[in-house]
Amino acid sequence: MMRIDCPHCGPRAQSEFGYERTLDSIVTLDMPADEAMARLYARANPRGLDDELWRHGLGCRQWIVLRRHRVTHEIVGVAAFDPAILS
Amino acid sequence: MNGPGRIGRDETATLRFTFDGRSLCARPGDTLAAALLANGVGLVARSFKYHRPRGIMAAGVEEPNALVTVGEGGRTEPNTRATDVFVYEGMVARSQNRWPSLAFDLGAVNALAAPVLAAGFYYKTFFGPPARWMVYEKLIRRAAGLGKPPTLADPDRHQHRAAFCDVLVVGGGPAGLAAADDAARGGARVILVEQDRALGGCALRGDGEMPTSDAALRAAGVRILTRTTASGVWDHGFVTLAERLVEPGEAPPPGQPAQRLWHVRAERIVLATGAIERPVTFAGNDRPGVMLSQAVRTYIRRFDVLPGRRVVIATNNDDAYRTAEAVAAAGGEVVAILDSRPDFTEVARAAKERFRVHTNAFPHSTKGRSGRLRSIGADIWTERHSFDADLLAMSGGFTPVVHLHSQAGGKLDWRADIQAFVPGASAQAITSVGGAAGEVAPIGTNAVHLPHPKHSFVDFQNDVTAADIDLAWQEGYRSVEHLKRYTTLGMATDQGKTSNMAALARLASVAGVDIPQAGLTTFRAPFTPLALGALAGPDGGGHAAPRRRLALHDRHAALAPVWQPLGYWDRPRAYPAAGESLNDAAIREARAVRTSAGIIDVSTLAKFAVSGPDAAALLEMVCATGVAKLGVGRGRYTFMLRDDGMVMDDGTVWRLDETRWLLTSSTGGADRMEAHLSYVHRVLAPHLRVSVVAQQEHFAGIALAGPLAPTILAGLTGQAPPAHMGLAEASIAAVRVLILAASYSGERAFEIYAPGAIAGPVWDALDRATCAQGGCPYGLEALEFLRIEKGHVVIGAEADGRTTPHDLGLGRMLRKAGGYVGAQALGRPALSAPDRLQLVGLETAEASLPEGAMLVARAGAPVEGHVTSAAQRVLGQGGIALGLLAGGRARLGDRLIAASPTRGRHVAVTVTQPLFYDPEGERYRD
Amino acid sequence: MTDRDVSVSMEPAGEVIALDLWSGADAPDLCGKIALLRVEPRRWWLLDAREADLTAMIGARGAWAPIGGGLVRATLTGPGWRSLLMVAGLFDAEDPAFGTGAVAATVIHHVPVRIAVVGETSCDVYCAASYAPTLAGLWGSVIGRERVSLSRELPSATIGSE
Repeated sequence: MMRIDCPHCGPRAQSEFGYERTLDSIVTLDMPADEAMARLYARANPRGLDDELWRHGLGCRQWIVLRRHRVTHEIVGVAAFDPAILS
Repeated sequence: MNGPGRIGRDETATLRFTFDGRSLCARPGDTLAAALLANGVGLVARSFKYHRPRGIMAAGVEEPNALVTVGEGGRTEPNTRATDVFVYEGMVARSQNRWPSLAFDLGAVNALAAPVLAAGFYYKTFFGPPARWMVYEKLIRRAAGLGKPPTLADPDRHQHRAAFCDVLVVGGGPAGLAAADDAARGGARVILVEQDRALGGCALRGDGEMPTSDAALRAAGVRILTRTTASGVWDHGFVTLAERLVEPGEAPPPGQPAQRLWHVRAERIVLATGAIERPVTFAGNDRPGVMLSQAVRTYIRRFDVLPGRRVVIATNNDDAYRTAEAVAAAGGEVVAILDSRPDFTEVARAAKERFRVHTNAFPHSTKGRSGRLRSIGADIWTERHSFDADLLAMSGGFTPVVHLHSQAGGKLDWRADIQAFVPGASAQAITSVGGAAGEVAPIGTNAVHLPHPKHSFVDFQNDVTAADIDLAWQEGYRSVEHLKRYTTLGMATDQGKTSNMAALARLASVAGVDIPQAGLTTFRAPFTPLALGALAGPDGGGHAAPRRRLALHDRHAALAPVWQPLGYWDRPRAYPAAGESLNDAAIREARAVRTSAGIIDVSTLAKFAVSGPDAAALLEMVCATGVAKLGVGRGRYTFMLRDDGMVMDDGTVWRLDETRWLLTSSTGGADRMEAHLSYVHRVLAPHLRVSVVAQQEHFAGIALAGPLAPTILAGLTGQAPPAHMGLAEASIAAVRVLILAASYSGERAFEIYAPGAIAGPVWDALDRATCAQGGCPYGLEALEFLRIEKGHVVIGAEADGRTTPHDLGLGRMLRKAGGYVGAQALGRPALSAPDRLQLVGLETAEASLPEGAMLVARAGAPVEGHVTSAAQRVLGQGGIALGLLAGGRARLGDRLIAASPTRGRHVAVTVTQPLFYDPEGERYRD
Repeated sequence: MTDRDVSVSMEPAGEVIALDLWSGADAPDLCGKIALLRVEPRRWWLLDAREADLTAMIGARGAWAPIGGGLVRATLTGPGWRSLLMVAGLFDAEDPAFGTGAVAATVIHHVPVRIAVVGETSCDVYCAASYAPTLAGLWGSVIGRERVSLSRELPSATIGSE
């Protein structure tokens, strides 16, 4: 079980968190249909580090971004979700 | 005198226990193995495949041979290592895998068949039709086996507990104690775990001193857990510890758990897990009376038990010479020391003064009778010798316990001087110390004589011999992982603790490579077997998740309903009268709703207060239907989509005032909808000034439905009820309630919401008033009949995650302007293609339809759809159903078969509109 | 100290209001009249509050909704409360830094909870009412049924049946 260092609550057990999706698969409401489909069905799936959107759903219920290694589970960065990255 | 026994008088043996029904005594602190040896019992078990007589080989958890069943009834624990269970008063232990008795075991004829039971025997023999395998499997499982699992429920509780520390020290030997002491002096939060009952490790057999004491460590704040095994190291310093609070089969004190599974998060882990002594490979090395050298020392010095009187020692290192000292000091006779190394080491030379020491000496075989060792054959230089002895103490070197280091992703390095892998680079903050780090005696590495590989056991527990490894190699198994699976080497309950290195050495020698090139199999948790009960912990019993209790639970319970699990909830399915069947009760309840009135607890629906100046904007992003134009005091049906355009959930949305809304959605989707609302708000539209508060449990909800519902409600509130899809506030039984005029049943209906903590009187008032009008409470079964007749879809049944609004006939409700989640995907032509599975109604003259049945044109024809929900008509006769059918909307009137082979039913159905009752909605009007 | 040096009483949480402020950085100024817990960065729980009072105090600076009807407060009293919270838990309640006034949201035995430290020997644990029997059962099995009391307004639990 991973330990995730919530920017609001400090280090907590993975069980308190829920994985949502990778950052590159977020579909905004004003996105053209082609881009939306590409984000849903043709996204990168790297064997290595990726940026992931998680939620501390059973804790402070805030959205956070993990930079996590898909093979080793190493978490190299955690930050509160910043909506600016979508624009 | 011959064989094992207690040294000196055994006056302190006060604990009574039985082994195979024989009553014996043990000293407090004895392991079962020590107690059996003290009582002269050498034959303890029969082997897995060949039913060979086996005794006790080790003194710790690595024991491969002496597996026993301990305890009775639901507390029975099979495959317990006799070396890893401490005797308690009244303990009942039994040997395994023998019939009719341990001494005379008919299964031992398997040993005669050993030539055909070699590696891959099952694969080679039992191929053929699967039906035949079913027969073979039963026979194989009976013949080759371990202990029998208990069939009764475990009467004990098992606890889960979290702990956090700066330093977790695994292993309470001298190295672990020193590490714990250091860490505690530095002010760290320290947990020290030891699988044994006592701290000390090798000091318990007289090797080394304890650098500190139990009491001193506790005084320094160290949390010490004995009888606790670190069973697995996982990601990010997460370690699971299994703590035995009582011995296997022992009843815990009243109210106390039997085991505790610790979930530890450690900043740093120190592994002081020691090393395991390796057996020597020769013919008959599995015979009772052949033991590991350090185990012999442990029995002598810790337990005052001499496992044999005439002792031969076979070794490739200096450590075993200490065993000679211990045997001699205990009054045993050291017959000979067979040292495989060609030259006398300093230690060997010193020992030569007192003992018969041979160099370049290898045991090649043993002889015995009735489970007792009688003589040992050895090659010494070029000559054959025979020694009369009842105990052979062997030492083939030492394997550092790298399991946890390796589980945590650490690398392993090869050390030629000890012929073993030691911890290399760690993937986590883990260090190994002491024996686990390779601080063990170096060994000689000259080539081993092995004249009888077929009788020379490598993996004792799974009966794998050196010849089996040779055979697997001959048959082309090159990867050690393949060899493991083909021979079952290392796959027994001991996971090859004593055998893996010997097997690798054999594989490397037949392959002509060095051991590191031969490879290594993966170390997996748990380190020692773990009780399933400990893993289940407080989740044992009926459910792996807690059951959620309705606010009105006690009121339902008073009516003795049939309960139905719905998600985490238990809800009334129906309220049968005495002698009434479930179906009869449901039909009676549904008819009451159609003809007078009924009430149902709908408290589990998800509810969200959505408020703020931008509340409507958020709702229009989440809901695919028009919302913002809704007038104050009005509500409407709505549904929500996923990104991919499929229906995720549905519900109703109500405008309480200009900026306050109430959204309801399905029970099962409540948590998902909570997260989805947050996602849309915080991720997609963080600029919105809106507050979303989950009120699922704040409001208990009671639906009042039926033609008499307006009358009943008016009588209780003293005010005119709201029109269909309108809302009002009122008082019932002096409780302020919110009334939403929504209908799920097809009748005029109201959902009445009151704070859960005070909803009881509201239910009571509604119940009395409804029953007075000839109505009754109704359950989920009646609700299902009513909604199917009305063609309302359910999330999970009709909206199964693969259906679009078009498929469900909801396309007309979609907001044309878009701007909601799923709008982009829904625009793709394939998502509204006319040949998709579409919602239809199905009717039959038969009384019922099988849910889940395939829809086919005739028997054997391709599947064109399926039945999603089935019911019987509430007032009329015959069965009705909702289903998903390819191109269904264009096929009204088609005749199909609803085929359910699993229920043996084939029902002729006619495709209809998915609406069987009051198609014009006349009954909603006052 | 052991797990057993604690007793638990559970009762409906009463009038509790969840308050979100549009600018979430600062605690709401409630003139010291209302006890509050900060349960999320932008959300407060107001204890024993009345909605009517909030209109004057908060106005258009935020929005609120009542949640008390489905909330239960378990008060753990005794020096063993930290130890008890470690049973089937995930959160480090034994960390001395988790002191009076601190609030943490976590999970105990699959039940989402919010823990508010009241003092050295006492804390409040809030959970959804539907889960109260589950927690009562878990705690009863650890400290003894006689040490867990459930108010009569709550659905009955078979304490210690876990």
